[in-house]
Amino acid sequence: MRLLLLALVALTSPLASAWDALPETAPYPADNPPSAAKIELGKQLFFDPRFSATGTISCNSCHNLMAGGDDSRQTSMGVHGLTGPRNAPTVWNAAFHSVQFWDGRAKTLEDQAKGPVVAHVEMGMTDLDAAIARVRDIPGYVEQFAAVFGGAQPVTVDNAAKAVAAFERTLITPNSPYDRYVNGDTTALTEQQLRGMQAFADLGCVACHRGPAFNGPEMPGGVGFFISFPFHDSPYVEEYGLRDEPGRYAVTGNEADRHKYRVPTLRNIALTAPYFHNGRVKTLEEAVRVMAPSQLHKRLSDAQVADVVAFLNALTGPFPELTLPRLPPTPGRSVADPEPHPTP
Amino acid sequence: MNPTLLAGLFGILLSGLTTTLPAFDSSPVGGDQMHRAEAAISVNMSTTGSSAHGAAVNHGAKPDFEMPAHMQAVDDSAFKFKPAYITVTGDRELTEADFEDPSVCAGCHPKQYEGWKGSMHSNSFKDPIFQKLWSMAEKATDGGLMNHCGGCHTPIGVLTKSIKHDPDTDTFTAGPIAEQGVSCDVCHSIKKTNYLETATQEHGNASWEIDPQGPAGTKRGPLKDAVSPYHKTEYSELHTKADFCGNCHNIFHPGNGFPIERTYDEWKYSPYARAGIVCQDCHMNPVEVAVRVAEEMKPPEEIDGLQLGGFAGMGASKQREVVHSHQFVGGNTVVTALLGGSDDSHAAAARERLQNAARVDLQMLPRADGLIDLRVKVTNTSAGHNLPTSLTDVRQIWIEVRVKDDAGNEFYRNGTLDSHGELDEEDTTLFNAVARNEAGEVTHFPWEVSRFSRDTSIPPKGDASARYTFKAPAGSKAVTAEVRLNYRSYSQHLADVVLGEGVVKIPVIEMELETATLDL
Repeated sequence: MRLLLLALVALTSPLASAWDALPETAPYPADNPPSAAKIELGKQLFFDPRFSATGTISCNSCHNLMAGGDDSRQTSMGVHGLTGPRNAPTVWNAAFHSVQFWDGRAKTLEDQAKGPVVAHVEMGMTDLDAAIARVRDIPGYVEQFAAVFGGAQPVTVDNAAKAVAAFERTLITPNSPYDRYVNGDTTALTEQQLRGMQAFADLGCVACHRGPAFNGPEMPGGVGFFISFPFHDSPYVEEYGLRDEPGRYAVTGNEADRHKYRVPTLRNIALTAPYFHNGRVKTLEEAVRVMAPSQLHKRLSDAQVADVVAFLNALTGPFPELTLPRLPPTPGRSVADPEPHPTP
Repeated sequence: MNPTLLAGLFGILLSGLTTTLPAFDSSPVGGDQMHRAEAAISVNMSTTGSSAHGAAVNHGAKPDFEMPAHMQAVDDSAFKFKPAYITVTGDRELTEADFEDPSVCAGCHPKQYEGWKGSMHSNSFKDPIFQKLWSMAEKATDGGLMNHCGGCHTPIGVLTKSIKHDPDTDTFTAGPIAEQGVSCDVCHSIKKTNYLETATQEHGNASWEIDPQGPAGTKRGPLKDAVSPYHKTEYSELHTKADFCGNCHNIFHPGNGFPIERTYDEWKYSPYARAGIVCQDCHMNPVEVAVRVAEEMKPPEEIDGLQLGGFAGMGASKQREVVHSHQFVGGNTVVTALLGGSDDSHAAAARERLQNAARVDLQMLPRADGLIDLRVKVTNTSAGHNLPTSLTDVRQIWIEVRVKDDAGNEFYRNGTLDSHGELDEEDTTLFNAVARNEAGEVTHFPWEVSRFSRDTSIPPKGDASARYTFKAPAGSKAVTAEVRLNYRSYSQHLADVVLGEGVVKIPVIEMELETATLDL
């Protein structure tokens, strides 16, 4: 039966090449090749909360690497208990996105890394200069920047972003049950997951959620794959406020970009509830139910929903071993602002 | 007994070939078309009149052509990709980033993508026979035909100036999307036709304006209310018309103006055009539909029960009456088989087309002098253009005749291939054209063609007849004639000359097989 289903999935998938395993390494830009020292530096910066206004928020606060790479919240909470408008996208496998953020406003991981530091509802620094000044005030960082980047002033915003991006490119999760299946291990998926895989193709989910990261076709770097969401009307639009914000329109001002979002990866989707750009949908079952009429003009039976959800669970990969970094200390003093900023 | 010997003994008498054109009606449109047809003929005549006889033109020599004066009247200074008549909206410089990769389109339009992939449109650049001929043309004209050939075979290569020619290997490369030939964003970015500015003031030689807008930009097509969650959409009436296709499927020699490929013109002056049947009706639908269209002489939307409907894209909410196939099937079974990988579907579809295009009627009659007449009538029943079409001087459709006596001995044959896969062209009823260069010599190289000295291609709904006369062996009680109508894209000899001996085997497609028996 399993073999039969395997043949079925292979034969009837709309694109023979649609089922790709996740590569063992992520692509990187020519101007930021990885090195062990750079990745280690980026890891420290990623976990370090001292570059937020209150000294409490690090990248890991909202992109928790002990969990699904997000914060399990509807929308993220930054300094002073402030919340933003959007659900935190997972950092796991973000390296496979051609653009970053829900609205694709950053072309690279390097660009993305600079955003939250100065977002007033996230890390809340007044500007990047203030943030990098704190880095320069920590001798252990200065030494590492000098060793990794060299030059007269190695501690720069761009170099910090490069280090963080280099670390993020190691945050990938190949070898999920799905990957093992497409690499030839026919026992890797359950029969229900195989049915779900077939449904995922037949229903048309794969039209957008395709490629190794299930986030769309391979696009040139910096060019996003943006889709209107919700495309069709349904009661869900009102129930979950799906059109309450303009999406990519806010970035470009083009009417065609209204309610468009970058297609998110479905890797580890089972671990990143709640769902969608506004985080209003609480369960994966409900997310699948919402997607079918919104994007595919279809209604799913409970059994179909269960099958697709079972398949999506097969996209949860083993997470790489991570040891918490020791952050460079500043013995006898603190570089984070001791006086909390008043709430803006 | 040796049949060839018998054929020699009894002699072969091949009567003159007659071709019947369908009658023009007297509607105003028909009148206008008649006028155009005469104009096209006069081009042939004037070229013939001015040819320089006696000047030896070798294959590969640069032809010294002068465009006839009446064709130099058009100001073509606006064209930046001469001799192609391509223009870009706003005269922008384009890069590959201005075009969508077909694999992106494939997600929501898998049927269209799978249809296109492996089609001649997807092979238009990679086609090794085309590349070799293009390379020869480049050498013969000092690069003068780069944009002429490229304009339709790799429009994006021309537009982005990414074409590189390697004269040593006779191959070309271009950008990654450009190498995918006539891909999604070529046709779906075309905005208008420039036909009024061509030298012939007719569609052809890449006479289109394109306005590509890159990923998620505006895609133009035949649906008035198309919506997409990814790209912008715009209705284009041009995409519903044969004129759209004619911009490339109608080619005249850029030097002397001679019409080398006339597929669009052949259609335009045919009963199909007058019935409102366009290229897309047959070539963007399955062969059964094309057959019905030709039988009933109505566009598919006026024929009941065709069931061409469906969703044009994944996740669409509206059923469309017709979702067009993007296989663009024609008669090419060579390149589709060569570049189609393990999937034979495109070559198979081409064979099926060819086997539904024509009808053969036989009549075998005894004569008073004791000889037997076999009359073969070939009718172009189902093609809205000539049979064959496009490069009619290299395409070959011919009649193959084998006659046996009642004991099964073949005593007469005509139009059979020799051991090298060659035809005796002088002694075979061939439907095609004979092209000649300025010196009057027969040529198969498009850049050398200055006129056709014979054109026996069969027009739409037209027919052609041939007569074979033979004597039955003494004592036979009956004779049976087996008559085939055969097609091949080009002769084996031409493929061998162009690609090298035996590199590609050119298949012969049996379009029709009819038999007739005469009791004696």
